[in-house]
Amino acid sequence: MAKDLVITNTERQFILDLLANSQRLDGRKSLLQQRDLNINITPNRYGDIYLELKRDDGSIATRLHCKVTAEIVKPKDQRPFEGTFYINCEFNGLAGLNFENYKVGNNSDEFYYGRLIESMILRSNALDLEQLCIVAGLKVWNIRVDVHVLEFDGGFLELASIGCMTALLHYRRPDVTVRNEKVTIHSFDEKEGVKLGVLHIPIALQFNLFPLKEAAEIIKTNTSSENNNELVVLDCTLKEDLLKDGEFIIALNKNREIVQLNKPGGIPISASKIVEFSHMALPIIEETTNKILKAIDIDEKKRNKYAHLLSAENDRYVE
Amino acid sequence: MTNLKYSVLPNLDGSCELSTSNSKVITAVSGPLEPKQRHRLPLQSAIEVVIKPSFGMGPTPREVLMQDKLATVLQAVIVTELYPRKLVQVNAQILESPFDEFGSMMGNSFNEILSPMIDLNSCFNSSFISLCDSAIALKSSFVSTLLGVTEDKLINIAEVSDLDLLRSFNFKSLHHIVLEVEENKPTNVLLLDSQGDFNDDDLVNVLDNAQKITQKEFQNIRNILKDKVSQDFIWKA
Amino acid sequence: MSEVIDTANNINEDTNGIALMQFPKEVLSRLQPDLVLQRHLQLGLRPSNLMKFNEFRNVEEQSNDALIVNHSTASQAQDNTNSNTSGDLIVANNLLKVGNMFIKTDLSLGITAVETANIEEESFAPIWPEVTVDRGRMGAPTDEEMIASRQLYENIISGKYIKQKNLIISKIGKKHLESEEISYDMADDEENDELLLENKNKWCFVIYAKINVYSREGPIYDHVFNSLMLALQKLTFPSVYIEESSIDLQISSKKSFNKKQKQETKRTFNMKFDFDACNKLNLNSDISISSNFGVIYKDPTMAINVLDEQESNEEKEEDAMDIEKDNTDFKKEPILINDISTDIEEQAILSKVSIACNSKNYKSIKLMNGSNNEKISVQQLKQALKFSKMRYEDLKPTI
Repeated sequence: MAKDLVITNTERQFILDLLANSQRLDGRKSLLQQRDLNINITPNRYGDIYLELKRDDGSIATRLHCKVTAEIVKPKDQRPFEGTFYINCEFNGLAGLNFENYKVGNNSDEFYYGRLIESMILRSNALDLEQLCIVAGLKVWNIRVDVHVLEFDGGFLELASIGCMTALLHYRRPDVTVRNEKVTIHSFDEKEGVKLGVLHIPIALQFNLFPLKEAAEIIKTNTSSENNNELVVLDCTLKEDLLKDGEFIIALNKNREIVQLNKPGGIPISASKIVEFSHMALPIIEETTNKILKAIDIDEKKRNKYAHLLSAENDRYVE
Repeated sequence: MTNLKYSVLPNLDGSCELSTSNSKVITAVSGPLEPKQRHRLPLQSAIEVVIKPSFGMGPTPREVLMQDKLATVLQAVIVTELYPRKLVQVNAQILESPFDEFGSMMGNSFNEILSPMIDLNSCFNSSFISLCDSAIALKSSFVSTLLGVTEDKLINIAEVSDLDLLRSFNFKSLHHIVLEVEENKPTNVLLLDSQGDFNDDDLVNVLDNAQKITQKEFQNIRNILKDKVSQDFIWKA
Repeated sequence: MSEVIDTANNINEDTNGIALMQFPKEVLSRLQPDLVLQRHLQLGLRPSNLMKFNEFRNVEEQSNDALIVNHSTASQAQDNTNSNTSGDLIVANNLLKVGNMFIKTDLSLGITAVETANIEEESFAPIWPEVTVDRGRMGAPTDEEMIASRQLYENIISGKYIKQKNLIISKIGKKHLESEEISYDMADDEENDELLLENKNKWCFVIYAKINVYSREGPIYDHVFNSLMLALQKLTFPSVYIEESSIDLQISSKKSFNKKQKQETKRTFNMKFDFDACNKLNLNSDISISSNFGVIYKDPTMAINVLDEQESNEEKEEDAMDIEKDNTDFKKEPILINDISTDIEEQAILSKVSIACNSKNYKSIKLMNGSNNEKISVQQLKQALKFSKMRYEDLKPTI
């Protein structure tokens, strides 16, 4: 990600030694401890989310801004009934000096993670694209999520996936009426916006792998002891991220379904680890999902202050 | 009302997050940096401005024009002679614009012009605070104002919080004015970008009002900077 | 010429050991444009063609009607694409010669579908410009080209030149199969009412402008704008008709949307331009003329003192002492330069203003002070505004 960032050998050794002793550079006491997640929804807007990862001392480690925008486009020829969805994420000079401004990198890490989240949402049908169709073959909604990185100290993949899902859950597009091929788009004053069809909430989690011994040793001793050849670290900081030697990405939803798995190279792990990782991820995903839903619920209540007054429903009393 | 937070990005030299009634930007200044060969000027520092739009890939021609305006004014304000062969980098990310929503551009054709002006106006004010925060040497202060002239009124656009109202104004002309502030008084015009139909009287009226607004805004900014300096130099007391 | 180059290579060793170098004018103007400009200013002249400070370059409109519209080239627009296929058809053009610079503007038309109901009275149409500065190099557009294009786009909308309403194609004709005649009157043609009614007010013109700048000299924007304005004045819209024979109803054999099958159940027909019945574009506002100005301060310390050369060294030293006394004489004096016209001026003058106006109003002002020492004051702005009005009057005869 930050290619120009160079870590000195001593610092490298120090960080790795810390990790071997279950200590983190930012003061966390466990390798599996994640930093505090904060979800802020901008009032008066739909699908405009700020996410923060906070260090123990309260300072902000990573901050992202996710924004959903919609436009009407012509659908792809092969899929006339489906809307389109796109994630745009770019690092720029705001995230730190080691990020270049004009680097249009199709092989850069953020591009790779962006595509990963996009396929996580699209291929698992988390976003119902057919609901985005207005006139088949002619007009569909194109939903775009822009991820702006405002501060960066690792944890991009998790945060971006949480941000995208929160923004999609929160966003409302204008309502549309079609009569005789004549399309009328209603403003929010006229008709309340329509929520996007989010069918489930997949969230990605990245397990970062650090070698416990030299690579040559691992292969040698592989036969004797199967496990614990590597350290597994959650929620790496930027420096830790640069030192890791492999990653394992898993995307799950609350229904305990695996949506995506990815292990692109790095040190080998034993096959049984996958199940272990999945089990580790489940409670984390569950907690995050609840956090997202709670944030949206709170925002909803703020917006709908007078809903209970306007409701025609009778109060029910439970004996 | 203008709301601003400085030093929001600890990794960079200076930064500011500024929100007006209808827009929000975050800007950062880094410098003096070691530049690439083509940015290396023998007697002064180069200034690079990058503005990212609130959505979509950027900078598009819309942002390139904005960058050009901001860079030219910064050229006049930054003491470039102090940092020869160096680079001062200004980054801006538009976070909220009143025209983000679907269909908000439609209807009023002036919106197409108003939208970059609103973004740029916020970028100007925010980059001034960022520059102060970064401790880059400045020759003078500046405050940016965006005024719209309708049939009978003069509107300070940064204070319009009703977005629907903002989108439906029937503007005769739009004026983006950046005034230099010296000794607490607005003095020279650094940037004047006027579009639409207007005559000499309109122009005089707009400049007069811009001076008044600048005076008021600068007092506000000055107080914030005063706080900031007393915080930053707390060890000096 | 060769002599001059010789002196450039000939490095004279001064007594102090500092090498003195001489450069020919062309080289010096690239190395030190500000110095060259200052020396000209001292003489009361400008580097290009020894113009006066308040002089504008000569602007000539070259007639090249021969290049306009090839009537036989009919264009097509299909109803389901926001077609740009007619982009090659030039309907109005302008060739402007400004000093040694040529600017060629070609306007072409496209057709797109609109929701006429959504168009308000006070809605103004853009032009989609593409400015290219030809410098014998290919590649992505430069910042200058992008800025000029975007500025044109914004200023055409804000200048309220073209009403969106005037671009709507209200009448569509039909070419009969047998008679080869085009009829625009619907009453005559009852049976085809349905087709024509269906297409009435459904389409609208889009104007594209391809602007080329050759042998660029100084800032381009104002001249590009003027060229576009002049071309716009000549713009005529052809009538649009549908050729009966070309009406084509494609219905897909299977009703399901199969992946590989092309599903055009919509009717496609060729819309063609009829240049025998042209309508002139009604401009909503008079065209305006843009001109630019710059402010630079005359710096006496940069002047070559011709007298000094004949005086002895001792006297020079005395002069140096005098400088402090004569400080008042060395005050920097602002000069307003009209029509920034060379690369030297463009690089040395950092504070510029560009003003577009017509006889009634100003349309746009873009003032940018790029230097803290040499700022355009309100006084100079007033002067520039006056000049820009005069310039409009001057150029009107060519219009």
